[in-house]
Amino acid sequence: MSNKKFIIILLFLIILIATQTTLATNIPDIYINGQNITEKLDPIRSNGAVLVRSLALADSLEAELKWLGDINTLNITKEDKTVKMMVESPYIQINSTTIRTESPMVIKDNNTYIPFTGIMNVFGFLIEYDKISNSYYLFKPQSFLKEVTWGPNRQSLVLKMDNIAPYRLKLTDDPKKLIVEIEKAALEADFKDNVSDKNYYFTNKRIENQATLQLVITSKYPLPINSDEVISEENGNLLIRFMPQITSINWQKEGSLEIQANGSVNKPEVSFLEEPRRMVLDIPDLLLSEFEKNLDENEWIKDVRVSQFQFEPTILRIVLDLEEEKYLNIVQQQDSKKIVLKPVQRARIFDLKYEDHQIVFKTDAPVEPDLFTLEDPARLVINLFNTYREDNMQDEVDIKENLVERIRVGRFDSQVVRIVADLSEITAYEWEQEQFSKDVYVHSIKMANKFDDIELLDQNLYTNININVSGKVDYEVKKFSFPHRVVVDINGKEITPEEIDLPEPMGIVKEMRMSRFELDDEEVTRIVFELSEYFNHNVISDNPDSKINIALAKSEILSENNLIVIDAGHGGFDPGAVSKHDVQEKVVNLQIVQKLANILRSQGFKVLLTREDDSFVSLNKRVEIANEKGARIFISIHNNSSTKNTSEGTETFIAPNKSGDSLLLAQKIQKELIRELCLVDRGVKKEHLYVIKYTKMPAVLIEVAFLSNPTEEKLLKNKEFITNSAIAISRGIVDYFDKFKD
Amino acid sequence: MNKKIFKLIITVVIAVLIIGAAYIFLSDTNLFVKEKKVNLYFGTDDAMNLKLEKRDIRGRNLYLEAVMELIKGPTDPNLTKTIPDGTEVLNISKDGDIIVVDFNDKIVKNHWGGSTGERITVYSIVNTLGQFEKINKVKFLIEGEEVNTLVGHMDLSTPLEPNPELSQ
Repeated sequence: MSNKKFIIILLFLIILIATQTTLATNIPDIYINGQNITEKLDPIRSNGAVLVRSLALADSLEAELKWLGDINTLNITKEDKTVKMMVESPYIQINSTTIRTESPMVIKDNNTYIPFTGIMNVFGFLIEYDKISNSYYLFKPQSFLKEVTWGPNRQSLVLKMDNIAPYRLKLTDDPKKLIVEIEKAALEADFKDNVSDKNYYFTNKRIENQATLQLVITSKYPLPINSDEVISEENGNLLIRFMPQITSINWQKEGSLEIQANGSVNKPEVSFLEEPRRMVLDIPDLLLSEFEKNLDENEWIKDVRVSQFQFEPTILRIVLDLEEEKYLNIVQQQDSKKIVLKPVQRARIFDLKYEDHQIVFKTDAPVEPDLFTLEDPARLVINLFNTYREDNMQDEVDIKENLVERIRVGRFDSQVVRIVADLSEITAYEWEQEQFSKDVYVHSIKMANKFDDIELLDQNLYTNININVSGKVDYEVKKFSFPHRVVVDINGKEITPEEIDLPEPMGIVKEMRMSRFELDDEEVTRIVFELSEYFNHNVISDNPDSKINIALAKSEILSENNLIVIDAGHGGFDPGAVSKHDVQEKVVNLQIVQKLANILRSQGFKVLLTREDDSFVSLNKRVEIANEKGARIFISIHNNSSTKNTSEGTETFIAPNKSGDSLLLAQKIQKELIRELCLVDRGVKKEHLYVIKYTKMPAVLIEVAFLSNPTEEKLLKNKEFITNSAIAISRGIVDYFDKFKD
Repeated sequence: MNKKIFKLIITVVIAVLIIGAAYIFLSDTNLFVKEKKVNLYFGTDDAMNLKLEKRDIRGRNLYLEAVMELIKGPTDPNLTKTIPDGTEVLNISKDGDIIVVDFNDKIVKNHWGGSTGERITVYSIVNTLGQFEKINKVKFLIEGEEVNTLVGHMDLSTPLEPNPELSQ
């Protein structure tokens, strides 16, 4: 019994030790192009390195093997490559070069075993080692890098490949270093490096145990990488894009300073500083590099200093140390790669005035002002660098016009004169400079709104005119006959007199034109809409407004005697629902009702309200009004409430005892409300609601939104929302009546 | 040995029976009062519908107890109360297939308003009372008076039938 036990324990131990021995020898699996050739290569370990049977390896490589026994040397030849190695030496000779491999060659069982990764590398294999499975994977490179060279203007690096393998960009902590890794790639034998120079250095590395080619680009200056799209494919090559760099600062013989870059340069921000006297140019997205500098002998600039002032965002700062009393100005250029500065005398500003709704002044030299608007109070600031004001120039010009109230002139600092125009509101402006004579430049700044666009919208019953302006304008809508036309006159002071593209005629609008002329000594921009027929028109927008909206009725039916009774829910001592912030339903209901009544009346409907003000009217009385006057339809307007503040949306009710026209009316209104207000669609519902149940005509009760919902409560306080609700309901009503047309 | 186990089982069974019986007798002295599981209809979160909550009620007047339970509000946090605070039932009576409920004026004065709000209140009561046998309609009175409406939307001048569409 005890013998048996002993044997079992012994066996167990043996198995355990055997397993551990196998693990300890750590013989890897070897795959070439996905095929397991471990058995054939018979790998062994020696000094930690993996060695394989030379005969088998040569066979796999289809190489020739030669054993020179007397000098203990092995030659492996494949094509034009001969590798010579000696027993016990880690050095191998490849044609005329010698390298060290991971281990010397060894002899075992009459076979030579040679260092595996070293030899495979020599024969152009890429090796990847997977630690977990203890396997070597060998690949032939799938792409070759032929050349690295500059793209046009050194704005990019081009990696010329025979085909593109998976690649990635590795950003390093060092802004001067960039790493690109390309999988299963190798350098071609005659690879050309056309990049390395005094500013750049290009190298390549293999990552140990990976089949990845690593390209390292190092620069003397922080690398000019633009954004996330640094690397991309183009024409089968890889492209690394750079930001433009400064290439030269040269004083030109004709008397100007040219700052040149290898790509397009943004407009610099300019400032002047004293003590020492200097001009600072901050150029965004431009990079420092080795650049040419030549100031010659000039009377304006003592010295130029250039620095990479900032990264993220990138700014190149050029500081020009100026001579006393000397100024330079940036001159506009056709060539976007250049910034040209020309010496100017300090410009004199004179003749500041306000005429034709323009701020006008003159200078005796070209000046490029810096213009911007500020709010609270609204004003336009005009900074004029390198200028001074004429002695007798006034400090203030009082205007008190619609748009510009006053113009003030002041000195901002020793170089800058500042003109400030106090505006009644922020508006668009446009600066223009015109050379009047040799020494007179006229500057004019127009303050005006601009047309955004004019559009026509043809609907069932209406052709709609929409005139969209950049800001609110005063306007007047007039109707003329013979031929029928509707005219929109916009106050000329408030709109730029430029003409814009008019839309294609549509609906009953058959022609349009735009003009600017004087009317009662006032400038007016007039837009004329010639109509093929005329029935009625309705101005839906406010005055002034930035969106002028006019509806032109397309038929007579709407002007017939159709009475609509509109019922604003609650009133008087009955506030209806009351929101958390004390918005009372009765107030909101009446606002919508009044807006709706205006719209419908202007469309030719007769409208009667059950209450015109904040008074209590019983449900019974409301019904009586509608029934006695014989209304065509009855519209009751409410806003909703619930115990939960999450309840939301728009719903329209009809009485269960009435469907047909009531249902149609409700559906049309609900559809328009949802489309316009984009609230949750709670649908059309049937309910025994008093006012719609006992009125004899088609009747609906609309619950526009929930006062108990904080979001919708906010909306209900908004004038625009009220207007939009009314417009949507009116559209639904018009749509409903459209059914009875013909 | 078998005898021992048998004795033990018997003892345990008897003990359980005694404790159980004692619990029933001691905990509920009104064991023989009328008790019924009823459906109470409360508002859903979105105020779109009513949803039922089952509750045991006991008492001599099921109609009154049901409305009182409604006033207490739901136990399910996903449901909302339907009757305003302070509301009391002044009277409840049966007239043929109609139940007439008379509320104090708090049901109007403390109401949150809105067609939806009113609708949920009214049908929470009508649908709840409508579940009882031979009850088809509910008529509302406020402070003993007939009314046209609760808070300005619903027609309460005539008795209302339950609205099954509102109950999920």
